[in-house]
Amino acid sequence: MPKRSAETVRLKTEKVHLGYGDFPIIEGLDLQIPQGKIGAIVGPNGCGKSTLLKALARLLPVQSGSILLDGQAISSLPTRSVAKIVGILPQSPSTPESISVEELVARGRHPHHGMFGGWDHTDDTAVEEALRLTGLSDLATRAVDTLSGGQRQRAWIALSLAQHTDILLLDEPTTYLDMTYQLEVLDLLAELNISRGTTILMVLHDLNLASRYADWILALKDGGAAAVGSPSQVITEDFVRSVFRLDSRVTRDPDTGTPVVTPLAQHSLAALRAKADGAA
Amino acid sequence: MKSSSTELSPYSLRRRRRQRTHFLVTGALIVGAIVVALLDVSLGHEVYGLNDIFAALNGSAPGGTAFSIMQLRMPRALVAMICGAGFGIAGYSFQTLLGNVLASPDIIGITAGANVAAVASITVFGLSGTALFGVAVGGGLVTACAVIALSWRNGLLGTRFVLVGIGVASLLNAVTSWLMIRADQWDVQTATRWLTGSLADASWSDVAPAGISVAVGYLCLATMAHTLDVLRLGTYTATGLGVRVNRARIVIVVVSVIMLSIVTATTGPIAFVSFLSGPIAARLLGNHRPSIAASGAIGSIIVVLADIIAQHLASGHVPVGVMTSLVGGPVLVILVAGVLRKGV
Repeated sequence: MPKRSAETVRLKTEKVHLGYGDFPIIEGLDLQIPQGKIGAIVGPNGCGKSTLLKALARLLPVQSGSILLDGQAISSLPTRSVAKIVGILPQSPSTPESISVEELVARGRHPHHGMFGGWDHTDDTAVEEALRLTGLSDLATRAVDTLSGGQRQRAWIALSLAQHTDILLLDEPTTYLDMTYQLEVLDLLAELNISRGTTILMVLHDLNLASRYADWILALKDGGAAAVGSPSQVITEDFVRSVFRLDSRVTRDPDTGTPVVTPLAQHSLAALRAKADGAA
Repeated sequence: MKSSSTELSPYSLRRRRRQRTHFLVTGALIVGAIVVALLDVSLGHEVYGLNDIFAALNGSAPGGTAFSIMQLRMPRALVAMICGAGFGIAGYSFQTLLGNVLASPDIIGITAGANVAAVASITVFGLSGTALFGVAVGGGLVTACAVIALSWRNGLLGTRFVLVGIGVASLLNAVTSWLMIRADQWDVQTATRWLTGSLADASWSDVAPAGISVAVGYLCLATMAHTLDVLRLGTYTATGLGVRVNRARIVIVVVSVIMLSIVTATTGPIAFVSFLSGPIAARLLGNHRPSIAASGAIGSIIVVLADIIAQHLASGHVPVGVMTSLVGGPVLVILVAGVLRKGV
């Protein structure tokens, strides 16, 4: 279990109910997000992973209960002050046509400015650092819409890095990326956590990647937390069966020692062929 | 090793260069607007030089020259400049807010709302002057609210807003036509002059209200330029970056609509100026810098140039709105074709 002392938690939910209209999605969730750790939210489609993340970033109002940042309801804090502490990278954000990488990244400095901008040296440094950390310095002047999927995702992460927040929330940052790019993005987030101590919470679909890259995992099911804890505590065969309704074998990765979920053999072309041949 | 304060990084050099280009181009456009306005004053039955214009301004010109410049041409050029700027700025803020070039107020029905209100006031209620002015502004605002309400679904979406707006515009234009058919002969003339967009009646009394509203509108929107820019990243990202999205949208819409309705009430709807200014500014400045001032300057240049052409180069006295339509219509067709090819 992650540490849960009061000093190491800035963002938490208390009996929070979330939903759209009369349609409840999360009911009475208590969650404390440990500072300086990487967390992953997992769960079946439609379980409210994105909804919870949006609410944590005050993009969605709570129906009841509260989301607290440093002990105060996040919705009552000035949104610009929140933006200096909590960053959010939504799922498939909209990229303005023909914007260059560095101009997109520069938008991350918005919460640090007054009405008229007032760009200074700190802003330049923050943008450059974000470009360097994401390996985009050489692509800085390229239009974002001409980049590959992985590069585009890195450009958006660079925007969040330039924002310089203590907490970073990401909604499925690896979706639509091939395996190499997925690992690249997760490596980048891990490095960010190590170098800046940034607290990271992301929605992930892949349990194996969540196990490799997260300190702690929250599994959502039926409007509440099905499990919270370290990957080896949470990811078990029983857990996969009850939360995902999938029979699987959970083994240890020989190199990282983290859990690896492998669906049982009945979910395979060979098994299904053999079954069909047997029936015929 | 040099200290970091004297040695600029490539990024910061590029940023400074972009900023310098931005200021230079915007400055050049403003100078350009003033130059064409001076040209507008100097051209006519009698052609006056710059010295005549300055003489008229400081009161040392002979009576005929002074009258022609100060009473006829100067107010007309100033109204053209001011209203052009108002159309351009309102167009830019709508197009940027909704992330769609087709979302300019002359296409999505806001101008049509001001028109209906004005034509009804003239033909049914016999209003004129300030009352007419007020009703036209109200018509623009009500239409804007209606289009927003009809297209609102968990926020404002560019495409839906444009389609609803085009529908509302056709509806309102039909009402305007109906009002015109059943109106009295005399009122029809007044209303027609309103509807075509004309500078023929521009006078000094128009300069102050239009000038103040454009100046105030510009200042309000200039303070929100960066917010407007961040809104293009979408509702979620903008909120995440500390923008109060719905409040910002409402303020931008209300400020733009009031300014637009006042300039529309001054000259009538000069077609396509709102629609053309923003994209031209973006073409000249690069897409991703707030270009409110540049869009305003381009609006001024378009209206003043169209006025010069309409007065002197076209045969007979063609209303300025007809000239802008001749240019704007084809551009609209090209842009719509482009949008449709890409998928709305």
